[in-house]
Amino acid sequence: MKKVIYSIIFGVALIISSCSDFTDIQPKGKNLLATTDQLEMLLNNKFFYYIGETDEREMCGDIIRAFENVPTLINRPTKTRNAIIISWDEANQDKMAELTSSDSQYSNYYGVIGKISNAILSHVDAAEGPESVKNQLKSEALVLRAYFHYLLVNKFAKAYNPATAATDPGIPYVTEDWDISIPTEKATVKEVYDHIIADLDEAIQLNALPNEAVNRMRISKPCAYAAKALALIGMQKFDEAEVAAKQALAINNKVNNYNEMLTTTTGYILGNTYQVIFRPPLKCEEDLFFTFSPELFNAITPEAWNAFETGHASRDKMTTDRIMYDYLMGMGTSYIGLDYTFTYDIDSGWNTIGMKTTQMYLIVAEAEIHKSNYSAAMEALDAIRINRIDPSIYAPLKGVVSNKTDAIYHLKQTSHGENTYTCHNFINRKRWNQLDDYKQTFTKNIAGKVYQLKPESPLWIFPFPVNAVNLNPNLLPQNYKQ
Amino acid sequence: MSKNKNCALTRHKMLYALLFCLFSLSMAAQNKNNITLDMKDKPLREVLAAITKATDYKFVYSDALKEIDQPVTIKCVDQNLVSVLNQLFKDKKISYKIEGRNIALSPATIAIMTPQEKTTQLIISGVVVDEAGDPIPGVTVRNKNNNKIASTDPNGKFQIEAKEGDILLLTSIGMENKEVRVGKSNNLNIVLTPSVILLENVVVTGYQDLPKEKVTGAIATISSTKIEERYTPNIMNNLEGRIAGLSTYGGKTTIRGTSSLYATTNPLLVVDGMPVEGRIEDLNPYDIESVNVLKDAASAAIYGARASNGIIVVTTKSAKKKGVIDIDFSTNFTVYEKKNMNYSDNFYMNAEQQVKVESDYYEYYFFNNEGEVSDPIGSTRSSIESGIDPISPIQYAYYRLATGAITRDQLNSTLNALKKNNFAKEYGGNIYRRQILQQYNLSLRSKTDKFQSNLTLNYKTDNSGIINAEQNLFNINYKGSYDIAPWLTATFNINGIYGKNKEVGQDYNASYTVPWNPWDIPAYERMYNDDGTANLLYYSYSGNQYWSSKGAEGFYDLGVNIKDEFYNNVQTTDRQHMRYHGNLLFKIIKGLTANVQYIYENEHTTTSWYANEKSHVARSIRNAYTIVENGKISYLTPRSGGMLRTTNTDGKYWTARGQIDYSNTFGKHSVTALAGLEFRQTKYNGTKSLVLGYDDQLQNSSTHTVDFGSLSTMVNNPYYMSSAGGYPSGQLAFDLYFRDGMGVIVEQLHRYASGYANITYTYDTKYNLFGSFRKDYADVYGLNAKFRGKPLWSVGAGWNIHNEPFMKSYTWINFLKLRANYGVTGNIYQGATSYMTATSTGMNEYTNLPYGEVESPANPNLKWEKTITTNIGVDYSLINNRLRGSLDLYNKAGKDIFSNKSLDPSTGFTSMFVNMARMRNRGVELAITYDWFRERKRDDFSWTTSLTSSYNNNKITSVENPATLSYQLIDNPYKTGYPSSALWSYRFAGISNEEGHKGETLWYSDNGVISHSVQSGSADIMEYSGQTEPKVVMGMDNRFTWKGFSLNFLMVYYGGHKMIALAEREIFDVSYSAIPSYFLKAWTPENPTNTPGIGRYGSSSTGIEPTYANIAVRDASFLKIRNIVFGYELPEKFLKNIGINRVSLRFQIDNPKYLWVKNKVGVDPETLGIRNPSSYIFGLNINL
Repeated sequence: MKKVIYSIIFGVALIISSCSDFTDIQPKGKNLLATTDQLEMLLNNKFFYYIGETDEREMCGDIIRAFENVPTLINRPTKTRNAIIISWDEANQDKMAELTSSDSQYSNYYGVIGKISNAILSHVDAAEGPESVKNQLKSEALVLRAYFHYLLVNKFAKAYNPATAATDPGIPYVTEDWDISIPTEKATVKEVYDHIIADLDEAIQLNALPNEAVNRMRISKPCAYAAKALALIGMQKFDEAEVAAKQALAINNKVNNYNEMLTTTTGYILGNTYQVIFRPPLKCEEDLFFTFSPELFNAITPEAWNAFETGHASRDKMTTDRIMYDYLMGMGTSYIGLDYTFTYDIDSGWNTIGMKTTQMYLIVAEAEIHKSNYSAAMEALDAIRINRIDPSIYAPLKGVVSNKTDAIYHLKQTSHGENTYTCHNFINRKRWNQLDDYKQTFTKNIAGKVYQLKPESPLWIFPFPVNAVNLNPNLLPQNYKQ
Repeated sequence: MSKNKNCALTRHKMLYALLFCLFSLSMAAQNKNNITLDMKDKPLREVLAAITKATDYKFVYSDALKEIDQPVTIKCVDQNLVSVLNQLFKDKKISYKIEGRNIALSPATIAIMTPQEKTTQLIISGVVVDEAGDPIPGVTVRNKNNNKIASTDPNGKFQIEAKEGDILLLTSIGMENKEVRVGKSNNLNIVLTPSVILLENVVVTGYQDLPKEKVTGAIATISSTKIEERYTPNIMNNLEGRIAGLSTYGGKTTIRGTSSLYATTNPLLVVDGMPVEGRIEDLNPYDIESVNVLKDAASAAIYGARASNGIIVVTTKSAKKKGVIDIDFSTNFTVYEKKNMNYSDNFYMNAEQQVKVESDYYEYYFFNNEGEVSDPIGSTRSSIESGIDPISPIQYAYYRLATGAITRDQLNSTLNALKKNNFAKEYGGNIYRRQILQQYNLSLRSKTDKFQSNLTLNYKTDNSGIINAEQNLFNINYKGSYDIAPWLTATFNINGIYGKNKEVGQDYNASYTVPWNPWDIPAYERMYNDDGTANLLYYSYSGNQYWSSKGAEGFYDLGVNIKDEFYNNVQTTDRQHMRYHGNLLFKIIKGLTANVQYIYENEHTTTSWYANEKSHVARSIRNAYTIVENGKISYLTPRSGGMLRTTNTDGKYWTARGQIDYSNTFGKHSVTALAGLEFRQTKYNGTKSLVLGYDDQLQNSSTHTVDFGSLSTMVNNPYYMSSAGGYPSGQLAFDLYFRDGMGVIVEQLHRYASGYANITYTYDTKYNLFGSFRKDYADVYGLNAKFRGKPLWSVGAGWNIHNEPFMKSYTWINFLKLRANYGVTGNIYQGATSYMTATSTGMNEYTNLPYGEVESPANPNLKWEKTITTNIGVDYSLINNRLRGSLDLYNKAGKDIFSNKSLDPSTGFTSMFVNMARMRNRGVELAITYDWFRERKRDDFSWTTSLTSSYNNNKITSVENPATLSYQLIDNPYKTGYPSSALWSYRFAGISNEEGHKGETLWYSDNGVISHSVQSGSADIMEYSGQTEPKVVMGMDNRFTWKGFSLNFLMVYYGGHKMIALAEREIFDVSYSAIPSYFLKAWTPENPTNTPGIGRYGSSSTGIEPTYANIAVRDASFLKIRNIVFGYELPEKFLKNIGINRVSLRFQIDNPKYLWVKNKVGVDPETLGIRNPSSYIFGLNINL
């Protein structure tokens, strides 16, 4: 009997100690973020944004994105968020803040920071894998974190002004050691830019990034320099920006020739064929960091359309609703009550929020203008223009332009052609509003009424969305109020 | 790697330990059957119970055994049974007889005979048997005329003095009383029927069987007798209306309301004591002995972290008759009513109405458009040429009139011809056929003293009511039990289910498959022309009849002959489910048993989807991937053959349990207790494969010739449908047919380990105390280690009021029990982890690299969901058991319910899963059965009414809803203060009369703004429209019997809930499909109704608002007769002669038209449209 009792006790003890071990299993079909390979999968994110970037493009006056009669929309006594943006109704900016229940850019960009960069940076040291790969992952994560904070600070905070940046309220700069159960804290604009530069410097110092990444949705070495150049020019550190831009161009200075990247499309009505640009996603060498979104159903304002340089392929060879209807009609009148041209390029990738070599040429040009080296500046612009302007029209600017006003005009025009289908027109214009030679009041005429956007308008600062401020009182007061 | 090894080791260690443990126990079990008793002045009943405990011999006696409650004294040490019995009965007027493991007791008859009677009295002898023909020992037989008493012996035989015309009253526990008139014969054969009330006196929890007198929880029991009153292929449907608190509404099974928001809300299914992963609809409805539904904490808490949703415990039948082979055959043949294809009854316009609406529109469009249409001819030409959308023959006829190709007379004759068509009727005639479901069941059972064996075969076949479709299910079950030794019983069960289904395969851009068609095609279309040739139909991205590229060289015409597609595109599903269940029961010492059980289930499913060369799918794939080589079209996918997609899935589930049961009585104290350990693993995985160029006859294929890498990046095929900008091959071919057809089905592996115990203490048969305790462990990734093993428990108390001495004078109270309990049960949610993890199976379609996305931030504080239940209930049986039932009040408070917590998006996450929500279910459940008339013999009339009624109030008491925009609230409707099934709707604000927007719906948005599109309005604009789950569920069953005939009908009532039905959605101009009949009252400036406009006043943009409109919210309450059953039982006398025990016939009508619905639009709330067809069932049961 004793034997029996002992064996029972032994058996029960064995079983109970097994309970915990028995259930200690690792789930399959989940990425446990435990190896460098698993962490690298986070970096293969689809950088796909559908309508994420339209806020800025709409605000800077380039496009209108609406699905109803726009004159009716903006004249209705009750304002929608879109009506406030389209009509540059700064008196109603508080209303706009109230109506911004969420902001897809805010969530998506912080999503890249929280779910990719910080997830990697907090797991990479403990992960299994070679040190060199770890350094590369770390560098990519740092560059992404810096660049997406750069995009965020440019939407939600005042442009960098060296005189006031140290006190201007910015955005939270979220690092991997932040406990997400605690509301994040708003940094000043200067602190945000300092963090951006610090992250990029760390990434550059690790020296683990390849000159060319496995694909253009991944970060390569020139991306780190390019992001740094963008941040530095934003900080008005022209010389340093030029250095960084040239470091990027030293690795990749390619500009694709849009005049030659053509395909045909057929009109629905007459069946005529037209030559249009096909900008193959991921395959343009000029894309340093590529993000995809179809350029579709955006009504380009006549002001933006006219601001293109004559013969610019991005305008004249863009797939639009007018081509689809053989130039006999357009969608504008019936859809938005305005006879605007709608972009309709389903297949190309216009790299809406990514980085391109052309931006580096533009930075070089601006820095050279700053030093009054107009020839060098125009040379940089020509490097872009020769690949954009119809060869039968193209003439170099180098040697032709010799004063600051003209130089700035051409810089802006080239920049516009380069950035109409991206968020960078907004960023550049907002930045230039800080520079006396560059600042500009924008106007647009909608159904006979003229609207204005002044350089000092608070509309250049988007309100934080309600779903963020409700949960994080540190974000208040709204930046546009200060 | 090292991790797996550890796990395997652990598992072995554990199994060895478990087995070793149990064999050690069995060693102690040898010395059985000798009795040691020391009881003084105890009722005889208790002494007998003690002997039963010690020996497993059961006593059988009748109510007439008056001595049963008299006190006796006995003292014996390690004596054998016979000597104990002799000692016990030596000075009592009781005789006993041992038969097998039963001991029949009968009063020693005292014959007092008067001389006068002596002359006429005869000795009548007889035998008493049950319905199955088995003898019933211990039946008291009383001659009401001379008050003589006799008792049946173990062979059911008795002898009693009686004369012709005397009435004998037979009484026995567990049987209905019966009176028999003595006839001329002096040899009687009497059949007693089991008493339903008493049969349901034992409840089965899966871990133990308990008499109702000891139970403190709310458990509803349905016996096979009730189940067999009607036929349902799925046992769940048979429970409808019979168990208060169980709802099967809308195909969702819940017990006492919804208990969770994101985790499972289905009750746990337990078969023969073990939880199974199989589906409840797989259970053979003919093979069920009883169903017990455990509703509250005291009854369910032993299931711990799986108990929150309640438990359904199913016990399968076992052989009862000893010494014979019991053969039972049943069949049911179900014929369904033809589907009603009438357009108006289905809420659509008929052909004539639709032709009118469309011709009005095209009249306006081409000839009378007041400049609103810029280029009607050009636009029509371009839409014909694009090939994206089908072109209506009416539009085409008007286009031809406008271009001068035909005259108005020709147009009118085209229109008149179209008006005469009736597509739905033609579809019904060609695609549907009479639905017939047949089910056959054969069971063979036998039982000896040591061995019992059950073999059940079941076959079900359903033609689905559709051509080239079928559903077959074969179920074979063997259950045996063997008393290997006096101390060891082995039970084993092997169940195999083989299913084969055939149905039409998917086709993603041609909706010819059921149930969309025929309503996706205009009423005026037809399937066949007058000459019998097929009228091919064109769906989206399939071109159209008038397309100039139709039949272009190298491309297949994508027109569809619906009937052919049902043969060309077929999906078959083969399913094999095996369940092996073994149980060893060790009787160790008096009152102590141990058992070890193991159940292994394996479900394998193979789904083959074969779209042959001629199918629309295969033609679409071929057209999707082409290039031009030397000016000729050449294919990038195989030129011949079709697509075969095969999915194989495997589920492997096992549970091992070791349990010790103890039950004993010490004087007035009675204890029943158990403790055990349970280990469980579930694993599910599978693979998918794609074969292209497949020919089923030749068995050849050419998948290897396809370059999937380049196909995956070919988003558009510019050579096909070039006027539409090319065919979207990526979207319509790769994503739909290829991408998902290859790869793996991600493995789901879960493990659970649990320890549990419970104890029931009863004092003096009057008072019960109950406690249960369970600890559960589950995968470490599911929740934090520190929260694992958190105990779940319950306590309960019961008071058997009828056993109180002061109640003895109320003889009309047969049973009255008050019970109350309180406890905590859990629910597992496997959708969240305590570690930060990312998806692992994603593919970046731009770069073709594997990518992972972090799903949620790590939440180290995950734990079980908890439900705290308080239950107070009464069980009663009154007036000679005529009125019986129960009443329960409960409060289920859910705590730590998984829900989203909104996060500041700057953290990178918008929400995370936390144990944060709370909800409660409060309710009342009432069950009443009353016998208006009782059947004493076959010729009597009987009428029994059973009513179940439940009221449930479900409310989320705390939740954070991350929805900020109105449409998000529709997907995620949970809000504090509202029920979990809350229905949110857009507030209708009328129809627009604004220029350019005439006929469009308007909705209230933020700040009273009225707009056509309010989807992106804040969540606050939504109106609460009630809940979709019924608050009140009632069932009333009436059963009448007379002379072998029976009539049953079940009525059900569901009430207090809302639905969205006949929502008046908007369309652009007119659509190429059947048009809903509400457009007959469409808005026009002349007749401004609240229905959106059509044609000229069609919408310019359609949103989801009308689909969730508050004006479409309707009351969903209804009262229906579920089924009416006519039965006839052939007379036994007649059958006995031909060696048959029982033959019964049945005719049943299911789903007759509803009796009453509260909504005014004539919608059946259960279908949200036309009612389900009725069905007629013919049933036969033969027992040999």
